[in-house]
This record gives sequence, C-alpha cells and structure tokens, in this order.
Amino acid sequence: MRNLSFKKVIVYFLILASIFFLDRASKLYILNIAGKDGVVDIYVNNFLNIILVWNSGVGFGLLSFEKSTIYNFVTILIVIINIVILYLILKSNNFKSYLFIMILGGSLGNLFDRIYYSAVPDFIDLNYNNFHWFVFNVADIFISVGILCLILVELFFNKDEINNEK
Amino acid sequence: MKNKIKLLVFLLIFLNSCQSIKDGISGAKQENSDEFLVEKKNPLELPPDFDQLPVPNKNKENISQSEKIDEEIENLFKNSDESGTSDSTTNNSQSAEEFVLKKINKK
Repeated sequence: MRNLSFKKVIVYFLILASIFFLDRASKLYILNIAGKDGVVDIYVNNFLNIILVWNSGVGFGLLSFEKSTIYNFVTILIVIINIVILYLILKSNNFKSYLFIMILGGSLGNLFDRIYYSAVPDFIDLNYNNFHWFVFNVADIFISVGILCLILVELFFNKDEINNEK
Repeated sequence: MKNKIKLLVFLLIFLNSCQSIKDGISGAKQENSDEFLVEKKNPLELPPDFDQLPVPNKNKENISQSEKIDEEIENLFKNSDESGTSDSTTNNSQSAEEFVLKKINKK
C-alpha cells in the first residue's frame, strides 16, 4: 500500500463527499416534487423524461424480491464491496484511485437509499423511438462511468499484464 | 486481465441501481390497495324531515294536465297530416312558427 499524504486524503474525501451530496441533492429534489402522491412524470424532450421509479434490487432490475432476507443479504454484500473499493483506492495508482472514488461515491449514495428508504429512487429515463433504457439516477452515472473507464484502462493501458500474458 | 474485467462487470451490476421502466411503472410487485386506507361509509338512514316531504300522488293533477297538453299537440299534428300533403308541401318554405300560428288562428 502506498503512502498517502494528508493533503491527498483530504482531496479524495472532498471528491467523494461532493459526488455523494450531488446524488443526494438530485434525489431529494425529485422526491420533493413527488410529494405525497409519490408520482413524478415530467417530459423534458424527445429523448429524456423524468419518471420516479423505486428499485429494491440491484442493477438492471435484478434481484428485486419481496423477501427482506434477500434484500438484507444484498445490502450486506454491497457494504463489503464498498469496503473492498476503499482498500483499492488506497492501493491503486493516482488515476485509478480517482476512478474508484467515483464508484465509491455513487455506491454510497445508493447504499444510503437502500438503508433509509429500503429502495433506491431512479428517475432519469433516456429513450429513443419508444425504446427505453433502464431508468437510472446520478449515482448510477458515476458508478457506470468509473467502471467503464477502469475496463478501458485494463484493456488498453495495462501493458505490463498484456506482455506477461503473451 | 479477463478476471479483472469480469469483476468490474460484476461491480457494475451490483452497485448500479437502474430499473426497467416496465417493472417500475406496472407496479406488479407492489400491493394494489391498503384496506386500512378505505373509508367506511355510514349505513343507509331515512332523512330527518322524511314525513314532511310531499306525497307523490298529489302531483298527479299537474301530470295529467301536462299529458293533456301533449295529447292536444299530437292531435294538432295528426290533423295537419290528415288535411293533405299539399299544405305540407306549400308550407315547407315557411317557418314552423308561422305554421303553428296559422293553425291557432284557424281554431
């Protein structure tokens, strides 16, 4: 594990907190619009709608069962994954650690909702020609971008491992 | 490297919370209604001033009068039809008001 300066830890923490609070602010804004009815259905343009949908499972609507035991198991698993990501932030190099911070920030945003509301509010509905992509939230954007960048880094920039495999 | 990518895809699925719009909107996994939210209605009762309400048979005379008027109007139209088609053809251009006035004046 590399030695981190205090300044760097502060920077990491600020990035993490800003991602978390950006996600929370967006969710609170949508939930305030929903009010008592709990319905938000706003048409923004041909490609974007704002629709409030609650997800009690994981990505792409998977593992959304009514049984609380499965829900609690998945939540504990996510907590463990977050701890592992925190370890990877401390272990990785500069660029990768920023990507892991993006993932952790988003993941903590969703984890907070899983514990507080027992479900995660999703509200961004991208669509084209009546084909709807999965409804997602701001935390999902950070998680997806972070992981996709990490995959790209693994595919194109991890030369040492590519050479070793050859 | 492949294992790392598999692990990252696993992370993508587990940490994301995106939801299919059909599952979210259809509400198939939600309960349809809460029985405790349904308001109970009071049982049917007679109104307090029920005895003071007018008896329906008292209005019979008024009804009979209105029926008489209806019959008179019907007879009037029947008579006009029986009087001949020539009248009706000539009066086509005239307004209905003028036609009725003529009939009244004849009487």
